[in-house]
Amino acid sequence: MDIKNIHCLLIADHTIDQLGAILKSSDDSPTVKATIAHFDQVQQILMNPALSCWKEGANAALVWTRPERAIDAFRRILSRERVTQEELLAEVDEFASLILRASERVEAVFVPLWTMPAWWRGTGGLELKSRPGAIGAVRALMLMNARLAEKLEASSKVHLLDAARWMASAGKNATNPKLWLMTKALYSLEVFKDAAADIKAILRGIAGLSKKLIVLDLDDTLWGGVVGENGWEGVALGGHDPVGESFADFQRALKGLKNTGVILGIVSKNDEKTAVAAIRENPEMVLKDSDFAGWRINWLDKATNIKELAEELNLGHDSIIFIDDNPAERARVKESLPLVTVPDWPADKMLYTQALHALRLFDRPSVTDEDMGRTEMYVAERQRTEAKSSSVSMEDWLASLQLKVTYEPLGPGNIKRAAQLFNKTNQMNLTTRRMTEAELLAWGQEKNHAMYAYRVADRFGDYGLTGLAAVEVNGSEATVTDFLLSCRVMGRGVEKGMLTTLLDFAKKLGAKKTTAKYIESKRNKPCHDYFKDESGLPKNDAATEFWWTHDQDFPTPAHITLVQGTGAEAPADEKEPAHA
Amino acid sequence: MASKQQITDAIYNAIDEVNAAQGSENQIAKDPKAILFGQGGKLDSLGLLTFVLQVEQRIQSAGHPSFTLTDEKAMADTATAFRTVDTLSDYILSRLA
Repeated sequence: MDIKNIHCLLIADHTIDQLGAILKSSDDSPTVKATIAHFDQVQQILMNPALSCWKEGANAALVWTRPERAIDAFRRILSRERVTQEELLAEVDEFASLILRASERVEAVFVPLWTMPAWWRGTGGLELKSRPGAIGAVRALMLMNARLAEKLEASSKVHLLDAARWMASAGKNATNPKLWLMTKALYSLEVFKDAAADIKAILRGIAGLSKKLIVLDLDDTLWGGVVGENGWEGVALGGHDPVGESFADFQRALKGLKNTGVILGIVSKNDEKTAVAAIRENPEMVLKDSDFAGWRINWLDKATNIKELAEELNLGHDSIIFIDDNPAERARVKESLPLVTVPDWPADKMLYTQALHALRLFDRPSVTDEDMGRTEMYVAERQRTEAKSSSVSMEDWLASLQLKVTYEPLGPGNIKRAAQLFNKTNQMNLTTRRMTEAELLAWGQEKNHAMYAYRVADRFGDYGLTGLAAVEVNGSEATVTDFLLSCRVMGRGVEKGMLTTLLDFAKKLGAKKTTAKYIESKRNKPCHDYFKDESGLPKNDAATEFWWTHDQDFPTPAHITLVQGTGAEAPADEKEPAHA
Repeated sequence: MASKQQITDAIYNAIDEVNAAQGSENQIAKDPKAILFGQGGKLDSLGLLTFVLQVEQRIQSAGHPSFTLTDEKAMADTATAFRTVDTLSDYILSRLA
């Protein structure tokens, strides 16, 4: 989805023009162009792709309905008519299928869950009960929302929005009966602002722009007080003290984020030995040293330390958020590293957890196995680096890794991850083609084509599916059409193992020569450098064609074990590819 | 809520709120002379009603729960009362008196 060109069709049974204006005018990125569909024509619009509103270039849609209008059974429940749960849920299923049909026309559909105005309380507790032929309205609404979520769960394009939170946040001002009666606008500007902010957070997540690394200070950020002065026994953390408990809560919230794939790092002005001992030895620490992908604990400038840590973790500055209690340190980092997000942080330590949860920086369309284990991968990488620094030579280090590269054709066990990798790898990418899962499978199955997925593992851990390469043979000539590898495993000889598999395939089909044509992009210079070195051709920075003749073998590096897999099933501990 | 300044502050507060949906070219200035309604005004009918209800809510929350700007009298006085921030402040002051 092109984040710079979002055009959202707003489909609603209430006046929603102001949401459109906020989406367009808000300072929050991305800017969203909004088109308002005809008022209160939701079902007709969802059903009919021929309507003009679908032909105005929208690549996203929002479907925001009132429960009593979208689901007639719910209107009848509010009127105290007899409705069975089956009738109610059948209508929800029908509505969900309309949304799924509409999702085929755009790249993303946003659906706020159904709510009732806060002032509506019906008959109190009875609204939560059910008896034969009658369901309480609040109970019905919960069932409807749960059913809708269940029916839409399988779609990667449909994004449900927690409208109840917007209502709670706006409080009694969320709705105004007079505004509804006079303008048919059901919700206040406060609600629309929250809705726009959530929609934009999801759009950033879809575009891969959610934050990946939280860099944390230690003293008065992860615990109360200065560990260098008081020792870890003297800092405020946990226990039966409101401030200590608030730091423990904050750490629990951070750990929760870490468990969804957000990486934690430390940049602190402290004595490293003292600070690390505090992390390891203080029994009240919720976060352990294994929860941090890396740290810089010293007396140097924090901006420099963050820059170094980002390089170590191979992350761009725009994927980092820096949290520090000290406004001067925050200002320094803001000024020196403008792409790093530095949120204003409350002076009141008991508000840290609330401040963290309020950040709309970590939205992602889904959480993968790799996300959940990302920190562990960084810890393993740290161990590899330590092994590298203790090795005498590069060859010794590569040999010590015990690299295993498994190559396999595309199939049901790897196509999802292969497509993700194919469409987001930039640096080591020969041609930067972009294709859907179906297109990749179809291409790989064509005669004289080979498209392999590569899994890489070493003695420290499994990198998962991290490479993809393809070759096309036409008579005696073969062409490498795709060659891409995650930056996590670049420079370890995996590239050469990949090339071996392509050249072997081409040779077996009778090719005499295989050519790789490099197509320059903004970020794929590392790929050019690799092919320039590997081809054995005279070094020429301007060269875009590299070739190998098949009158001789192209050996796999000695430090790599190359294994052929089937691609039929993903390994139990499969890791999805990371952004590269 | 007795002074004109307090009423003007409530109006400015409501302006902040509605400006979020006004787009950069249609921002309403927080100025006594800022035009709210009629020629030169930047609010459409939905924007004006939203703004009026925002002001009404703020006056109500400031200790005048029965105050309304959407009754027949106020609607009849719209052209003059809602012309600028200043005229609206005066109008609210007169209704509270």
